Amino acid sequence: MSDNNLLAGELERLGITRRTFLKFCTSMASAMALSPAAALAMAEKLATVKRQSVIWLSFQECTGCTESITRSHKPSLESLIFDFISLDYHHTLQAASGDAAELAREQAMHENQGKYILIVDGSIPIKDGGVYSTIAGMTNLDMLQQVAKDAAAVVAVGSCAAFGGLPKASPNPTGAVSVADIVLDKPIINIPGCPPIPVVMTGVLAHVLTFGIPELDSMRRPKAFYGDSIHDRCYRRPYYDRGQFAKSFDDEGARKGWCLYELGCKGPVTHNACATVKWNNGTSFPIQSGHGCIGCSEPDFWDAGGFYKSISTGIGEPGQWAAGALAAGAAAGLGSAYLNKSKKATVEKDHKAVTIEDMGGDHE
Amino acid sequence: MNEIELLNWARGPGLAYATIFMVFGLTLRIFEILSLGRPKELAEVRESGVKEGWKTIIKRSIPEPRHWKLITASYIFHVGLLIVIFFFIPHTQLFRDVFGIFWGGWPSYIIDFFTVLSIAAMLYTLVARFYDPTRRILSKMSDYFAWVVTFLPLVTGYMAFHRLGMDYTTMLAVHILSVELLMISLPISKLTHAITFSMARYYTGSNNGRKGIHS
Amino acid sequence: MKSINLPIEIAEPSTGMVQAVLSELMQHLQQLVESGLTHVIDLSSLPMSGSDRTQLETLLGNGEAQVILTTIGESRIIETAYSGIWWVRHYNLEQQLLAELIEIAQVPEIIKSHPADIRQALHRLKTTIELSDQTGEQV
Repeated sequence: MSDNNLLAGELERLGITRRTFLKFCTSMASAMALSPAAALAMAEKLATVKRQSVIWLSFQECTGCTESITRSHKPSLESLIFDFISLDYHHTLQAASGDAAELAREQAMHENQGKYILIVDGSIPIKDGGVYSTIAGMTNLDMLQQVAKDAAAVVAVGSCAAFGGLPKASPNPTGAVSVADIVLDKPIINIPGCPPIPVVMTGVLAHVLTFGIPELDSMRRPKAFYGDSIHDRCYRRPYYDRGQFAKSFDDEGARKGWCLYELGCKGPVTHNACATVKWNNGTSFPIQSGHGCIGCSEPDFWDAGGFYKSISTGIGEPGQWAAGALAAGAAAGLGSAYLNKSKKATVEKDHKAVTIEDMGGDHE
Repeated sequence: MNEIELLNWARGPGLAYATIFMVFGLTLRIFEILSLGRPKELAEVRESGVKEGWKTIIKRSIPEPRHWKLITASYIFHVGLLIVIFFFIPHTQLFRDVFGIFWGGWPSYIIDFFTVLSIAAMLYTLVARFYDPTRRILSKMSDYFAWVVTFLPLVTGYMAFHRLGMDYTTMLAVHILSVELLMISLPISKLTHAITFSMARYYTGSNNGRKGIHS
Repeated sequence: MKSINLPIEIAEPSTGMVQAVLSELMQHLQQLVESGLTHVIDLSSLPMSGSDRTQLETLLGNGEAQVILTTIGESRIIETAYSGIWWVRHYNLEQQLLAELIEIAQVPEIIKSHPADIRQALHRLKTTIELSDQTGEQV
């Protein structure tokens, strides 16, 4: 264990024991629904492997994803992930700054060419040549294309990187797009959420480091965490099935813990692990606290109608459209009525009375 | 286009176009019907026909014993459909959003029951139309089309609620799109009878009344 | 501030899962006896209701051995009343349960001291002895 790059040596230096390490792998494997044997395999692999080089690029983001993954105010088992990777570039967490930081990034890219993992948070603006977000004079668009070129895989962390997120919300003034819209030739994993749950991020990273890319769904989200919708695993489901809904916040139904469908919960159409894994180390999640799911791990959730309007309502103002159409229909109707009346008048004017003699008959 | 984009389109622009088309179309049609009115009455009327007209609107709702099976099925389907549309809680949310008024919904398992009943009744009416020789000859494409656009929302709604078929987000989008298809068909097919049935009954009744027929 | 009571009632019927798990445990225990092969079952992978869990725990009971590991949060491991069947619970610093497993083995893997750690310890102990010899003090 003299090679300082070997993980076990690192852990030894940090005072992280083998047992803690095995416990970490066991809980990661359990969270990802892998077998306990996989935990052992994970521990073996992680212990002998050279620290994986990771470059983290932060673009048009709020840093919420970094906050979520670091939980910097309290050490936790999840933060161990940082002992398994060599975080060669990260705006918030790195010590270096300015040119030195950019140089470090380029060096890491060169040394680990084809083997480093690129993590991206934040969306990429492309309008007006991408000038709305730049780092060291380089647009995000250029930096992403340059760094992705020699990466082994790209992980888009957070809804902004995965789907465009908040910057992409109408009217999208910066032309924000997702990572998958720019990088077309590398394997991409999306870990959406605003922010994503910490253990989801670390779990997926742990999986990538040991077993490679996990099974993904059609939106490139790991099925282990995004396979079910919130509704599928919600503990308030019996109330939905029975039709018992809270009608306003803090009313009798809300106090009894009834379903929040009428208060705008987007649980049925949102895929994430909030209902099982929960937040703040399994403390709670929005629905358990009495607020409907806002659908933060789905694309375009900012433009999906109000957070407090049910999924069954329209996005926009249906009442106004109906009123407008009614007025237009009435106007057209009046026009049509006028035409019909004048047609009728013409017909009546041209009507000639016919007697039975005209028809060639007698009175008998 | 992924499934959530499809759902957002159905709830957004899709619903807008369908609502505008339906309301505009129905309003225009009703204005046209009322303004066209009737041809000038050339014979001498026995009485005014107004009373008979109103009476007929109600009387035509009483079933005719001869066709009791079909009429029963038709009633079950019509009543069931109205119950499902107006008393399923997610639907009441939509109406509250559009009209600003809210009436209580019913428990979901009751709505479920009426959905199945309506689907069964609709299937019966389709089979009855197809296997009765007279009705089959009289039936045109527009009749079958009206049946299909009414049947789809019931079936897709049922499937979505019970998580059958495709994933929920897609199934919900399909259900909403099928409703929008129904909305668009309303002014341009025989489905307009939803509004005009009373007008048609009044017309027939008052005609009879003018001739002195008391039904 | 007035506290709000939020009672939540969800029916949790017994599912018959307990019988299935007990059968599986018996098979693995047999394997342990015959060939010394160990096995681990992750309890979160089994579709058991809350009352199933309690029933299983009561049936398996507690044996003589209890082990507590202090590893960034605790891990509590007990041998059940059936020798060779161990119940392992991993907690984090906030006392939240991270993983729950049943191991069928002479002793769970995580309790055993790793050979590399033992070699390390040997080296350190030698150093400690040398130091105490040099200073002539008791260490």
